[in-house]
Amino acid sequence: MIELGELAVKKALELGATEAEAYLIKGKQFYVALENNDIKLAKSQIMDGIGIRVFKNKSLGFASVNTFSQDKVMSAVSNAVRLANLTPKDDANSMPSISNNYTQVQGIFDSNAEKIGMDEVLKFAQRMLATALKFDSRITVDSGIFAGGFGENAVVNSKGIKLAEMASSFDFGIMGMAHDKGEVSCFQYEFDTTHNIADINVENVAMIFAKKVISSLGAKKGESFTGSIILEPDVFADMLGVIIAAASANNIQKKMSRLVGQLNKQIAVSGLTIEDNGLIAGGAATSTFDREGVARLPLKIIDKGVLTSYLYNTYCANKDKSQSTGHAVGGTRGLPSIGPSNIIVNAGNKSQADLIKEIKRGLYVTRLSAQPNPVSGDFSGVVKGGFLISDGEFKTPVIETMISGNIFNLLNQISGLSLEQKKVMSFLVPYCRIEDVSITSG
Amino acid sequence: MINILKNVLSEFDGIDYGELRYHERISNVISIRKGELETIASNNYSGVGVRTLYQSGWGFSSTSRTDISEIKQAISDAIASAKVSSQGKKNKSIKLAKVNLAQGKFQPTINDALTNHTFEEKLELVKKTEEKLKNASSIIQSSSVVYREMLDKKIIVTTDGAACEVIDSKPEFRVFVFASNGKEYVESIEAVGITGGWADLFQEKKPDDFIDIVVRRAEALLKAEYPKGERSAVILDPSLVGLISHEAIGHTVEADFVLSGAITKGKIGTRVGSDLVTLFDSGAEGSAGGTLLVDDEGVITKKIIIIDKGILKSYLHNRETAAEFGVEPTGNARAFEYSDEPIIRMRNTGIERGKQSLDEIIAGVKQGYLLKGTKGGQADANAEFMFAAQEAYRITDGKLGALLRGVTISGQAFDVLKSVDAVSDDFKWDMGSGYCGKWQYAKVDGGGPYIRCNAIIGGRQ
Repeated sequence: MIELGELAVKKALELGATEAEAYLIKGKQFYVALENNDIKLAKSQIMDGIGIRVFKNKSLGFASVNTFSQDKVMSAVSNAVRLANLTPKDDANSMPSISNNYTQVQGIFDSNAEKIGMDEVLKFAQRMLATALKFDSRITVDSGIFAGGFGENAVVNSKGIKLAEMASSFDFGIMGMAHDKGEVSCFQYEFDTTHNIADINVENVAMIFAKKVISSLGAKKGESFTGSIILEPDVFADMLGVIIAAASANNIQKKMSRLVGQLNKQIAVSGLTIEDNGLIAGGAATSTFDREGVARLPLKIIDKGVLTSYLYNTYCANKDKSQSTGHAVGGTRGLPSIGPSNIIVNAGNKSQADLIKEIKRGLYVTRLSAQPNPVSGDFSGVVKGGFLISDGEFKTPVIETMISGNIFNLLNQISGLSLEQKKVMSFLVPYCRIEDVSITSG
Repeated sequence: MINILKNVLSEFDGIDYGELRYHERISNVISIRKGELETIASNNYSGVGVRTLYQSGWGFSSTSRTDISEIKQAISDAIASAKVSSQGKKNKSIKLAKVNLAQGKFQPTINDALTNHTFEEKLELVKKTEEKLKNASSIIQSSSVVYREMLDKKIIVTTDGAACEVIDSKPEFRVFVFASNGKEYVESIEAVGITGGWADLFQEKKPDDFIDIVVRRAEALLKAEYPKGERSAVILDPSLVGLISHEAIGHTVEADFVLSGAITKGKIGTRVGSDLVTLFDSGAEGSAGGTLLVDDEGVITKKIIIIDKGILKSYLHNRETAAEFGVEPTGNARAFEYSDEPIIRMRNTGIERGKQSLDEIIAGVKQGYLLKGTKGGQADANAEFMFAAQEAYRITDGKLGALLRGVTISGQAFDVLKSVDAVSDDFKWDMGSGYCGKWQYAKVDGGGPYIRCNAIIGGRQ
């Protein structure tokens, strides 16, 4: 792959580009889909792709193609250079150079993945399905997947970067609802991902899903009040996603963020620390280098409530006359943007059970259907699989109950994080308790 | 290519069904934000998707290499997968409904092909629009303009007779501002997405009109109050009617979902909405964004009445679920790219126009709200939904009052349909810049008239 990348970069320079980069991915995947309590389809796929980014005297061009056939790759290269002839000059357009601070990561490639066939993938999918259905006859698995595969990605640029890395991945999840005497519960789902075959636990995912869906049966209209909420790690992770996106240097520079001007300021309670670390062994988003070939390094985003860093790719770093933090993300079909790798939120000092016990009047939230405004942080969402809490105890599950507020403001209303942390894809997150939240029932 | 595909059909001998779909997609995008080129890309994503059925097991494989030997290899991989799938399948009675499959060439109406216009011209348009937008008001913190186009050519060949070529052309134009008065922030979006050519894209609104709309709205929203949460009479505009029709109702009538026990299961022939509500899904709606002349199983699409005057009439099917329910396929099997297998998806979904004027409908409201424009949302298995509106106006004693911001609407979609007591006499497709996600993307549209109903209004308190 590196050879093809080099060829593409060389061709781009010959056509007049002053800097050029090729990002390549190849992979193989087996996939079994579930539908309506049964196997739906088995699918095998081979993926090839190359994205060519060029700068011609600081003007940008990009093209991609999903094949390694040489004539098509060369035609994508000339398309990219052609576009660079049209676009305006931007002084921040320059590519990273090779550095010597790469840390070889562990646990992202299981060589046994190359031997896995469709038969094994089918068995994992069947086990996941059977576990969920056996838990309770009222459960319907609407859909689900088990996908396993491996691949390699590579970055080659005209400033000396020539890097490639193999990774395997197994992604599996299940979604559905429960039926009881004419009642249909709300949707619930559970997903997991791992690089290693030994860590695949389809039964665990199926059990979490099954428990969630059964406990959401019998939901009644809630009450309107202002009180405490407990967010399950999945919901807390979603909310933190908004905060982390707001810390992207691109959003800061474009003034599309509430965190503009907040660097080194207290933006959350002092009990909250959020770290990004792309080097954790076996982490879902672990890699040696980012989409541009810049080395991954651990980075504290929020330290004891203080915003300590924004996330940078090379373009945004150039604009701020700073260094990339190794957070360029993306695939072969687009320009490198900015995103987190693995996110770790510190654990608190009380168990989840104790956090609940201390609540006089509140709501426990297992899923929140909300579309927060990514810029302002305002949100108003319907609680799915929520429970009223009264005097420290779970009461009825609720429907048609909304919570609303502002995610940035809620960071200052956190009154506790749990000792327990849960892996939610590339996030490791505790349960979170927040005070004074507006809860409305229709 | 069609002859190559026909020639390799014999590889499916001894197999129940084989389907080959060559799909070539050029997708171009230009995006400028705050005066800077954010994206310019030309992507070519092409290949052949192979789907096959063997003893009730489905197998799928795809290849980006289109020479005969590679296509034959993909067929053999798909057959191997179907055999594995068949071993695990509990329901062994999978059949495909018989229907006349598409043959020949299909192309929507395209006025002034997108390829008549150069990348330079499109870049210039985005640049100029963003330049004007950026300077249109002092409240603008960030501005962005995006042009995107998808140019498709598909060839679909099946072992039971489909042999067609399908051309498609879907451009989008999107204008966005993020504005602030120093203390508070609002955003405002205006977008169009259609099926057709350059002349069709800007037929209703010129680029400058987009600027006026987003800036005026942002200015007004910054001065607006937040609503208080309450159940109320609500008038929804065509874009919100489209969103509810698609997101909260449409998904619950997709037959794959019905089989899994959606809330509409067993409800055909029963009342699910007021008699003013006729709701449909159609592939043949001219320049609407979800127009699809032939689906990805080779079924010619048509208009399907889902709810007729409040009575549930039909689900949305592929050939497999049509056979299961004993009905005709509805042409809803869609795949986003060659490497995706066709699944049941909507196309253009909406509510038919009624008889009253919007003014009359507003005049009939004592206390309530008029909601306009969508900002996304979600719906659930039980048709419970929550959508955000761009604008909301309070109505008091039949008169439109102050603009409110941060307004959401929620409820149970079928309860909302049953509460519909007025439907306006106009109709508009207004969701065409949207994509629907269900394991894979699809280009869809939604629309309708204004409707008056009852739902929960929410917002920041």
